[in-house]
Amino acid sequence: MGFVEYASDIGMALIILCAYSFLYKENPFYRIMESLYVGGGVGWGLAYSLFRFNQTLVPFFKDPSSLWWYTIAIFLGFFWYTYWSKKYYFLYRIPLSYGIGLSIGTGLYGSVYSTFIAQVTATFKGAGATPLETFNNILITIGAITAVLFFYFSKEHKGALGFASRIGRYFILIFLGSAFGNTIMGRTGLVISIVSELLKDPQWMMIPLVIAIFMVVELLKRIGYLREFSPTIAQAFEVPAKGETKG
Amino acid sequence: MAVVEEKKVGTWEKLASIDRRWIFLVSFIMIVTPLIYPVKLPIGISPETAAVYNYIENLPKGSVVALSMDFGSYLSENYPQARTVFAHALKAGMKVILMGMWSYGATITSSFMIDEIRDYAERTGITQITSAMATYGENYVNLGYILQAGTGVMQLAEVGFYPLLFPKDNYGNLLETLPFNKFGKHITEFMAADLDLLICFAAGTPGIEVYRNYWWATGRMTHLAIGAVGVSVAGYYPLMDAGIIIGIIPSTRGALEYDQLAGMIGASGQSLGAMDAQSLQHLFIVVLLIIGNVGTIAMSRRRREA
Repeated sequence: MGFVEYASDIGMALIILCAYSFLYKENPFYRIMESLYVGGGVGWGLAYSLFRFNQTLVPFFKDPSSLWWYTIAIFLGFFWYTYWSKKYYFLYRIPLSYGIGLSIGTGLYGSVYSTFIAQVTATFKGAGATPLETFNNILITIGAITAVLFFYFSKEHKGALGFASRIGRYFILIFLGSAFGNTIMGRTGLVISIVSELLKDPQWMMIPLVIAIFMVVELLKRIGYLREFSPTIAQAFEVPAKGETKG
Repeated sequence: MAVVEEKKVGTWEKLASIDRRWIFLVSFIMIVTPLIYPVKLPIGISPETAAVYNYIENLPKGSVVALSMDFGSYLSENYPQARTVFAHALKAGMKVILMGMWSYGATITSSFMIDEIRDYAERTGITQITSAMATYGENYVNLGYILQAGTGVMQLAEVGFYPLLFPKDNYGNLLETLPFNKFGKHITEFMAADLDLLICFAAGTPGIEVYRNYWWATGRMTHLAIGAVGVSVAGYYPLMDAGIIIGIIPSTRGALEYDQLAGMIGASGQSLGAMDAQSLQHLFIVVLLIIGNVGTIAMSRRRREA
């Protein structure tokens, strides 16, 4: 393993542990990691935007006559910035209306068909190939209708409507339970992936190191020596000075 | 002299006021232990994952499978799914296109994945993958980021991959210089309809809804599948029921299921111990939920009686 790989593995482990240290309590290591994350994200976004800028606009500046229609896009792009000018604000509406019009025009058909017509059709399948499939299809139909009735507020939920909306509520709760279970599975999967990375060599060595740092800081705090040891560290860990009250 | 009335604190109250950091610690130990000492509990294969696997297996060799890397970091739920499908597609003799609507996943994570799968194939001696990966651009190509998700995806179907959207691949190679083709049809002539399957590994928006609205609904390309994050899985079942997608790979568990189906344990980067940790963690959460609910009922009953 080369130095760069080694250093990046160690760095990754430290950043992960700094992030997870928040579970113990708010601390300066977490804040450093938080700033690194935000900075890294912004840096990546900026770098990639410049890369795309270079890839798209350099060919235009080299040969503007063959790509003359780029000028329209460039002007439309500049008009976004007129948002901050009272005088030229009206220009801001041009790219905005163009964008909305483009999205609606290109996406409306597909959106309505795939999110509404196709799924409503699939809700009312009726008889299936096997009795179990038929039962499943009926269950889906009942579930969909009663769940929609649960959100019908124009009439008081009494009698048949009350009964149906209660059934609908159970279907919604089953869905939410399933979503919750899947969310737990997903989040646990993430933690497992991260812990698996941390258990690799040389990352695992950072675990006792970080725990030791926290234990030393906590010990110094408990015996009241942290502020004497280093006022800067004490301030970072928000230890009040003698006579001061926290907050 | 003021009399301080001592409040009787019951077991449930004590449990309710327990420092949550103890739960984090137990949870951490329950994850680490099976990762170090795996029990290798059996994993059931869900029909949704099997549907994706079988679809690829039944495609003729040389068919094109596109993987849309619509997520960010490689430490995500989607990354293991993309890894195992990429490895399997190459092993099955498919040609693979990597692209995506999320800039990070489509550029850095996909490049990282290629290197990791090459290492995995060399380490495990899967010659189909090593030979498929011998020359870049022959059996797999990394096209990178699809600019402007909706309009970009529509362009892929209306005017094709080249030259407007992908004049170059992710590494700056001109597309016409790459040997990538489908039964003699070069990638520069590709339209969305030339793809035999697109699997969208979606962490959020933009994700499968873009392909669904611009490709599936308009009949331009109708072979879609999804690698879903746990929180979204339940919401994708209606799409499968409506025949919009052919299958779902659910979260990291789906990646492990896929590993088993393809007979390539570790292709997803997840060990079998990971599933043990997952099961143990679920058990722990179920126990906590039961304790929490029983405790809440018991405490509210006691409050009512008092």
